[in-house]
Amino acid sequence: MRISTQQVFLSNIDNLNRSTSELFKTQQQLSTGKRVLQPSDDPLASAQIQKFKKEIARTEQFTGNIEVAQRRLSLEENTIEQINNQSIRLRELTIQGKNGVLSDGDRSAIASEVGEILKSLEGLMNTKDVQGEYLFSGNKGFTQPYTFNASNGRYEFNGDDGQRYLQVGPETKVAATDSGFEIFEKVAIVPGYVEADLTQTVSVVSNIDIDNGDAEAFGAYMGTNGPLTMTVDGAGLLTVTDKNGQPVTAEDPAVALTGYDLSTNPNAPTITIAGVELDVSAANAGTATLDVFDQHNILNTALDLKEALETSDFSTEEGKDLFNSKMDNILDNLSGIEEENIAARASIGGRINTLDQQALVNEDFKLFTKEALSSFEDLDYNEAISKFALQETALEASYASFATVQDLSLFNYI
Amino acid sequence: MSFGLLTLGTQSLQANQTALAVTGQNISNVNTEGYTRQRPVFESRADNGGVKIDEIDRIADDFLNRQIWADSATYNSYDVYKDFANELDNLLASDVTSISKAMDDYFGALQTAVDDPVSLPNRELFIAQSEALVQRFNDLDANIRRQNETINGQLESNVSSINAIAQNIAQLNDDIRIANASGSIPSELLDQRDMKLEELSELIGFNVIEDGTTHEISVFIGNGEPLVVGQSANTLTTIVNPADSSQLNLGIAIGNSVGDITDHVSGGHVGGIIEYRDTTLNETLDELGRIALVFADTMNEQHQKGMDLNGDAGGLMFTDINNASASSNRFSADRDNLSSSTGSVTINDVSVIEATEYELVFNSDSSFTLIRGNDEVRWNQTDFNTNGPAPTNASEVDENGEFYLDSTTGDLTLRIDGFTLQIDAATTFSQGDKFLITPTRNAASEINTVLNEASQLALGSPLATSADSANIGTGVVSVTITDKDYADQAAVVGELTPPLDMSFLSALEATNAVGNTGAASNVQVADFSVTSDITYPLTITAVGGAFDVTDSGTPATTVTGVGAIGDAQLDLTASFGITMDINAVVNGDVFTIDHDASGDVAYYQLTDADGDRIVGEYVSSEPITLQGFEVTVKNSPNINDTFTIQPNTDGVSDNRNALLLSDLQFTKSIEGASYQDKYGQTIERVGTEAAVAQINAQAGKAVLDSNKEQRSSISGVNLDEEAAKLIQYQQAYQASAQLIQVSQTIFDTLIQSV
Repeated sequence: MRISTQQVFLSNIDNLNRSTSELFKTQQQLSTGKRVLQPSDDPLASAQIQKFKKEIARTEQFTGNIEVAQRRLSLEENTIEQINNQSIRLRELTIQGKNGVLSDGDRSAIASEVGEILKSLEGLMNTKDVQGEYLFSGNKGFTQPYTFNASNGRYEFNGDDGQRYLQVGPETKVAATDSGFEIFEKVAIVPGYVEADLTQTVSVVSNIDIDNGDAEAFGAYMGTNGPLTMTVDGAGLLTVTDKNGQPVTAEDPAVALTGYDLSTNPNAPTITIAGVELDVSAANAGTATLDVFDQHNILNTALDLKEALETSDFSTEEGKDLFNSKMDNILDNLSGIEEENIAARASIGGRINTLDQQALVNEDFKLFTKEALSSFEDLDYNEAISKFALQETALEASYASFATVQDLSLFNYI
Repeated sequence: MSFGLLTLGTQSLQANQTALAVTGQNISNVNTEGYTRQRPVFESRADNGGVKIDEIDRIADDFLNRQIWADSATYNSYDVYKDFANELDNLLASDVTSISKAMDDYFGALQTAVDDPVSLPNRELFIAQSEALVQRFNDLDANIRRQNETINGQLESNVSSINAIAQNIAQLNDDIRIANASGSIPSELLDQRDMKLEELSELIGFNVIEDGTTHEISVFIGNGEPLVVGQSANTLTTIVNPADSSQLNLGIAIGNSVGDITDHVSGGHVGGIIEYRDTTLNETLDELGRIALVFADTMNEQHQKGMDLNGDAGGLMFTDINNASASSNRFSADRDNLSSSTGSVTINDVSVIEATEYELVFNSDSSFTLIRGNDEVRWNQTDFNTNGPAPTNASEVDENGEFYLDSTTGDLTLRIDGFTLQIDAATTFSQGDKFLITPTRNAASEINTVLNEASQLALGSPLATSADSANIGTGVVSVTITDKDYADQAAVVGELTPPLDMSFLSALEATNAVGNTGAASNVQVADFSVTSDITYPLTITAVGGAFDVTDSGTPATTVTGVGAIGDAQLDLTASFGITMDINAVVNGDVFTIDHDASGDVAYYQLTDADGDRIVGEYVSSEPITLQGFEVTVKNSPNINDTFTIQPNTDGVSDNRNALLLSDLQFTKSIEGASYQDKYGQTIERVGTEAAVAQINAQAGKAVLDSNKEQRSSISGVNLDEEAAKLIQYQQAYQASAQLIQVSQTIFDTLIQSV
């Protein structure tokens, strides 16, 4: 083929240009450590790179969420544990207080310790986090969960049962808060614990045998229909009405209790209502209210304890019986409170475990994703360095051959 | 004899001198671009008449030249396309300008707000990140639009270069015609003209036709529009796109009229940038706009379902996508339309919006065609209103594929692909009226934040649920807002208005009174909406061969004389919403229908303070749809359990809406992809277009180079060759001189001998 002189120079310049730009590109890859310098280098990889970067950013956010949740749950766990310690101490004091040989002075000393515990409990249950948000008021973070209502003399829960969930994994959300409603208010029903609250008079109903009955069924029945009003008139006729004033039908004997003549009772003196046996005597005319004993949160239980210790009448047998029955209720209540506390701590512990597990999973995921990202984005140095050396050699060869070629001319010989 | 030798020698001297001159010309033009080497053609004269230079050959291959012009147009088109696409793709992908990166930061900040919704600093951070994201959208959009300005500038400068070249070619045509008339055409003129054509090929693709007699050429661009005809050149101009004033189009002035040839031209720089603008640039603006649009709308929608730190309903986070200026910016009427018009485009459903432009053309004052840009789908007027009756006024246009056209007043309302177009022409529509609709193109520049008060971020949900503390079942109730206007909808009289009480009922059963002859059984609820208004128990008495039915409500609902005692089924659906099987009933039989005592949950019951009540079948985890919100019960509630669904008063720590907002990051809201996935796809698409253009440019360059080498090989000067020729002609010249000397010697010899 015929080669024009200009062609010799131009094609050489072209080749040099190309070699130089290739060398420069490899050099750029080497100095940045990146294989894909701009998306058109590898459009598919660059879309993947974008995706992986998003995954990594998200996983890092999950890790941040896990830290927040762990901090919050640890604070809760700590607080609840202290509350549990106080409830154990309350149980000890109740047992101690129930001891019949104590003097008024002993009881008053116990009562004042209960008072201190009450204050400490109030503080614990109204704990705030660093943001000033109450730990246990559910979604009402700026509402103090427990306040003392002077008009009825009880502690009242002002929060709600909202729980805050945090996203800690692609498909995993973990509750990072617990409401006082769940862990203090919902005191579990302990079997055999439901009792009639005989607050008005004991003259009508002399014995309630709940152990033979079904406490849960009775509790459910009373939840819907209670409190029940029981009246025995002078003629020995019994009338029992529910909260709506509707007559109640007994289970055994199966009769509607409206002016029921107790003298005709085949099971006298026992009448069974909703699975629970009551001893009703015709001789004691009067009115009683039958209700399940309210499940109290630990603050009100402590209040009850303090009040029972301070104000009970020990001068009469009836007064002593009432005191003992109150103390038994308090002990039952404390059992429920402890169970609830254990359940709450188990749940928090479980969640902290989940968070630990999730943190490991996230860490692994991040590692894999980074590896994948690296395989798309990062440079294989071995390959790049050898490519660089090759390109360098080629460029040098071009220089050398160009020098020789441009020297060749027939004019040098004529 | 010697005289002949003298003449012959002189001629030979002259011929070789010319040949030497040609060689000299070749040598001296060795570096002249576009120079075509020349070769003297010797011709011997008859009868020992000696030699003459017949002509000086121009060693050129016309076909090869044309091939090179075509290759050069192709290569330059891809090359410029590649440059623009690369720049765009780098803009999209770079961490500094990428939307995806800004979205990572945005959703990251949202997560910190999820962690701690009462923290004002966290809320401030989120607001700052949303402003940064909006800024990023605006900046990226502006950067892409800057490319548009660059394209306009390049078009203008290219057009003036093309005009200059066209003038040159016309002038050269004239020179060549004159030279041709006087006998021979100087090779250099042809070289120059070929050079000009090659220059032109870098700018625009063209066809050349040569006049066989005058050797003038004509140059045609686009669909045969004449740029140069003989000695006259037409002028290219830039004209403002009648449909989109931000873009310049290409026009050619022939005589007094200017024709728009933007869509016809291809090849060269001009073809490349127009192609880039038509495909990649506008598509990317449309896609980016769609991401902004869907993002703003879905975020707004969810945010408005929330509740802020002050307990108020959430407002807009970003500007309403259908604000007046945005709606009218999506519409533009062609400048050449006969009647002026105003119009707007309202987005109804972002989930089906397409990232493209639409052109609406009127074929007459009352018929039109709509063309969608991305797939060239054409809808004629008859393709609309095919489902159901045609709308009889503008407000009835509420489904995709419907339109209402009033051709006497020039009003059109049309809905398609999730948007509604409204045009109001000043007089009537006319044949040839054109409208451009760009539903998403400006969205990325228009997106803006509205919310700037940290406490107004609606991270909570306005409805909360609570369980009664005495509940013993495992049931868990949750509530989801499905409509931002739930409060208004729920407040309608007769609808359930929170707070709501939720309780559970057992199945209905029939109790047969003692002494009944017949029996009723298998009570089924046929219509919950009816039975919701009934207070059980229900007493049914068989009287006179039919039934009297009364419930326990105050006042009681009573129906007399329904059914027949001989039937197998008593149907009380109309008044009480239930049916039951009856068997052998006689007059006087009495049945009571009430919830059974099994304690198994069969129905749920929702009541509000006004006494409105809804009863329905209880299915675990199945949402109960109410006005603007949904209630879901999971697991197994006990029959006596109760729940409340109430306004979330003081719910400052609630983060449920924030979680729903953050879920949107992965919701597949745009054609089955999340915001960022869609953005990634755009990067990939532009990257692929850039890569393809790059490969095409490389291939084009290889072909062009090879053809140029081929030409160089044919037409280029080789100095070695010329050196050899120089010696060859020099020797011939010396020999010719010897001829003259011999002739003289002969002559002298003759003189002396005389």
